[in-house]
Amino acid sequence: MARLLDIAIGGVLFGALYALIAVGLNLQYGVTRILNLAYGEILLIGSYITYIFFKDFRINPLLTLIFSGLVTSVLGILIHVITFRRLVLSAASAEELEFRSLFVCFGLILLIQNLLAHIFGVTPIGTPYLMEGVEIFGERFKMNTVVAAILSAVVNAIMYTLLRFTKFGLAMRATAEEPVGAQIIGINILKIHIASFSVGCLTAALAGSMISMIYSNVTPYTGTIYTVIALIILVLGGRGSFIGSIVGGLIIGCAYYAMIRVRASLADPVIYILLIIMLLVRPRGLFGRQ
Amino acid sequence: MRMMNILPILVIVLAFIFLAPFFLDVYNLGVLRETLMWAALTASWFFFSGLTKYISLGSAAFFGTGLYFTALYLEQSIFLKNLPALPLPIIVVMAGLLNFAIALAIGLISLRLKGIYFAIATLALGIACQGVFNYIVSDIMKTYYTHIPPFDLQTTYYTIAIAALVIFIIIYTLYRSNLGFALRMIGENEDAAIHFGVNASLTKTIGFALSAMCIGLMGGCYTTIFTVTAPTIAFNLQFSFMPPMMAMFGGLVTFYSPIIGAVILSVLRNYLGITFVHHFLIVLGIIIVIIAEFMPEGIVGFVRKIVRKLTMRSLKESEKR
Repeated sequence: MARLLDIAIGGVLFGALYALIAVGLNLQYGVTRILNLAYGEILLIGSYITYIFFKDFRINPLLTLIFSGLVTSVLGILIHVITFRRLVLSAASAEELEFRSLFVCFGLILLIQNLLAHIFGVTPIGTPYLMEGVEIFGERFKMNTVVAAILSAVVNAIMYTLLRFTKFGLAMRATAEEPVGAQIIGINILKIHIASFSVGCLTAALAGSMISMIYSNVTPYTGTIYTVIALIILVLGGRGSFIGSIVGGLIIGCAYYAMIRVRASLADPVIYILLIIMLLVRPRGLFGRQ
Repeated sequence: MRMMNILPILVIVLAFIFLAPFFLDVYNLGVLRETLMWAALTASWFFFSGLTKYISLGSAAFFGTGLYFTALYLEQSIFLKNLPALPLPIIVVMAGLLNFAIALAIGLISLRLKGIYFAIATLALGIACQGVFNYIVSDIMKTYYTHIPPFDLQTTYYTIAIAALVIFIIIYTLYRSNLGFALRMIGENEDAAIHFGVNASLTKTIGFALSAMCIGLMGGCYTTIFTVTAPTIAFNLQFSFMPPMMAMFGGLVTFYSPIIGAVILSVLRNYLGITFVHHFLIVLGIIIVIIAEFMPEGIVGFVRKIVRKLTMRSLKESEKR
């Protein structure tokens, strides 16, 4: 019973972090139809920014969230304007856009990975903070995982209000659902694309900062793992579905946490089996539209 | 008739590959071996993904499965005597068939769907396969590494060279066959292909499985260069990302353009990339972005375009005279 409780609470904490990882990619793909494979690398930039400020200036890692968010959102705008804008304007179809943007992402992955490796070296880094335990219903968890879960809840709530109750969010949803129609009623699609790309990078960086606090094993090459997690959640929850990314994150988080407790080495294959089952049974995801 | 044009080049290249151990030193022979490996992986990747435009990011899964299956079999049969000792080619073919089966299953599920699902399913497959082999090594065999009997340099070189040539022949035959034609039709316009009577999902799945089999064959042969290996080495994600990049660099135009891309990048990587590791890869990243943006036909397509322009200009000038 105690173990079940541990898995339930730990799974939710873990899942909240995963939902934070996934929400940005889901927004980026849902609105722009660009599959940003370099997402994990942008997340790592957030980790490394937190690391610089923590190590060199001794700034509280939670405060560095502001810097990492700012830097990566500007970076997101730059990346989109420099690389993807041309493709969006010149691609003949959504398939061609997806195909060619994947190759741009390959280049970005190489570029960011090796820039990070060149500047910071390849030894694992981290900003251990709030490592002390905290008790929830008699089970002990690390304080920083709880903080990450709270941050995830806050970020997701902000995103929800943004998408649901503002005109800007309405324009984003319109662009995601019906790009041509959105253009006809006078929405500047390119602006929306850039904005959602930038917001996606921002949340990625927040997740990255949390990851460098929780795990002290960030190297320039760990980014792809987070990309894969976010992609699996994207398929599970349904592409472009905001609720889907939260529910998908919680499911994957719980499954992962449970597997780590039972048999850690089989965690990845089990997650993969979940993905395959989802593709077989309901390819559009739990909350995806046809 | 076009065959006659490239025949002399082909003979020279073949002679070079087979006589290389007699005049190249150890380091350069290693580079050539690596180059052949990458070229074979890129050709196999191109056969499916280049033709159909369904991007597979699962090369690492198939390469790693081939490599690690062979490694485990060699360890079990030679060091631990649990399995009968078989000649290497048979083990490698078994590894290839295993990959064929895995790819068939994954393809049947994920290739029914259009769009990005295939890329996601194959990318995650690499991590899942690594997990399975990690489980076998760490939980069942209670160790971290797998030991492989040592082979000398010449044997490993010829193993990989012959495997690469066999893969080129297989891929080229398939490329010229009806299957290759059907795959290309799907890449150009899937709905039109279906309309012309191509069974799209079956064709895609079989094409994918054959490409995975070739990658697995190369993985199995690549085992010979190690004496000790671990799942993290075998399933390194560079095996997933490099073949598409090399193919894109060369251009997804004809059968030989991805191979040219692989050869150029692999040679550069082994000479420039040794002294300037990060600088080289940073520049390569920028180049890949530029190629994806401005030259969708790659280096070969770019050179072709320039050659065509030059011939047109000289034709015009001769007309003026």
